[in-house]
Amino acid sequence: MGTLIVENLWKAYSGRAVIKGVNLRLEDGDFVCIYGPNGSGKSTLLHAIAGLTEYSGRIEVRGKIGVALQAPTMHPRLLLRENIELFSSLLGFRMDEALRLCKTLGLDGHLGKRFSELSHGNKKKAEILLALLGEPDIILMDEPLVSLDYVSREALLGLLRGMKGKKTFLVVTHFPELLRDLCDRTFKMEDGKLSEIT
Amino acid sequence: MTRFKKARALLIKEIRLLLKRPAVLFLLIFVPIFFGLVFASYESAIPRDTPVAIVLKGNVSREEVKEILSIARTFSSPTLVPGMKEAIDGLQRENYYVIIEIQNYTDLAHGSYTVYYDDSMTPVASISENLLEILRIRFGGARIRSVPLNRHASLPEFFFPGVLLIMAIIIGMEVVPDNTIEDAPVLPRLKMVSSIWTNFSVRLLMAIGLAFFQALLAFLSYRLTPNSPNFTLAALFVLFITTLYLALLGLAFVLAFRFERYSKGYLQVTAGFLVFMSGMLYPVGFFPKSLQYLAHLLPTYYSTVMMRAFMYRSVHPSLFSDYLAVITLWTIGLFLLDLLLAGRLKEWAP
Repeated sequence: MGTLIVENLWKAYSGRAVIKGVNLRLEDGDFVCIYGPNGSGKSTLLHAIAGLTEYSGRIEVRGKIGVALQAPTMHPRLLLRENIELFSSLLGFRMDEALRLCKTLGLDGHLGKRFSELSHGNKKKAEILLALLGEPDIILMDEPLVSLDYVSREALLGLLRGMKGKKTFLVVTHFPELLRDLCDRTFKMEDGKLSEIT
Repeated sequence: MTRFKKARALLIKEIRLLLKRPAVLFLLIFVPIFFGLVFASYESAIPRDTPVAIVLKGNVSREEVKEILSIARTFSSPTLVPGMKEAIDGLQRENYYVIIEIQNYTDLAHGSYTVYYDDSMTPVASISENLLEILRIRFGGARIRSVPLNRHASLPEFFFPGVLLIMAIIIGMEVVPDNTIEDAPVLPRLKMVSSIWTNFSVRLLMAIGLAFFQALLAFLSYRLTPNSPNFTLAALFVLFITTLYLALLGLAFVLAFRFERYSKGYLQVTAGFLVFMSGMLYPVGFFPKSLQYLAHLLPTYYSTVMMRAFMYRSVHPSLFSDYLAVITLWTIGLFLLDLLLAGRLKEWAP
């Protein structure tokens, strides 16, 4: 499992601060949810933790990170199977394990399709699959429930319940009520500031 | 009237669509101007700006030199060269297409001339008969003999080095940009699990591998015929460095236009420009002078000359050290530009 410490994190785009002095601490096995209006800085916070954007402040990650971003990050021209092979190889993850995860997420029937041909929901599931490859200690998820139908959403929630306590989770969502039974702590992000909901 | 107004609105729409595609607009303007100039320069038996070296062997007075040059200017772009070695080196470097050595000159009709031309430059060899004819008419009863230099290349052989470079253009300015544009959504993931530069480096290596693979295929198909193209190590090195240059150029366009698909439109126009202007299909020396100057600004012009020279002429690579330096410096410059442009990826906007 992993821990995550964010201290006095600031981030600005074109001189406009979108994250203003955020502090956050996740211990081993924590399941933390962040919600807030569009443009409040939630996704930027995840990008900063994942190392996708520069920032000022301190981020300390102890453990391996897996990230499911809001927009799909698989290669549109490659088949789903080829994408999974690519990222499994890059992460040193076994393909049979990856295929098992695929089955859990209900993607096994789409392995032979080009990624660009998948539905929004299946693209979302594929993104979640990428977050889980490589046995990460800390899993960051940006809007994991968006575009999922009821069955897929329940399957994902079931998967997350199974992993709760075994991994550390930081989930950004517009639907905190759907994750209520999973979240140990919930934060609200507004105008770049993070406040815990008690 | 209503129908007319509708047609007018649709016409305005067509014009606006066209104006919003500067790459296409550039081609629409460049192609007719380019060919207009090239065709106009070929109105006489030989293109009027063909570079010719004049070498004086015997004693010739200043006035006679002036006279010779002014006659030569009526059918070419002559340069007075101090000796045959400089002239032949210049011919091998395509600075001159023809050398007129004046061995003996008392007056125009009583001189002795030798005309050297590059037999591996097939279009030049094909006009040499015209040139000799012109000289015989202008110089009356003078003794004129012609000497072909380098091995004779057939017309398809003449095109072969240029075609190899066109294939490198397809790889560098089509395959590399296309794969890079397709990579755009994947880059954040690659950044997390690998490195974007490893990704780009593998792509550049693959581009060079593809260029060699294509060259090998062309070589093998050539070998099926009784002829055999002369692939030297130096020619393969030129193919290597030019493919790298073109792939870095393709990458620079895509990075500069932030992975937008329309960057390929600009690349296709640039590719067409490079093919025409670098002399890959048509000798640059047959262009009008202004276009020749423009061609000399392009690194691919030097690649084209070197490819032809290393494949068909018995030359030492050191003769082209400055040409090699040009393409190498451009490649290094583009590499630095790509580094600079890729630096923007550090700030991955969500």
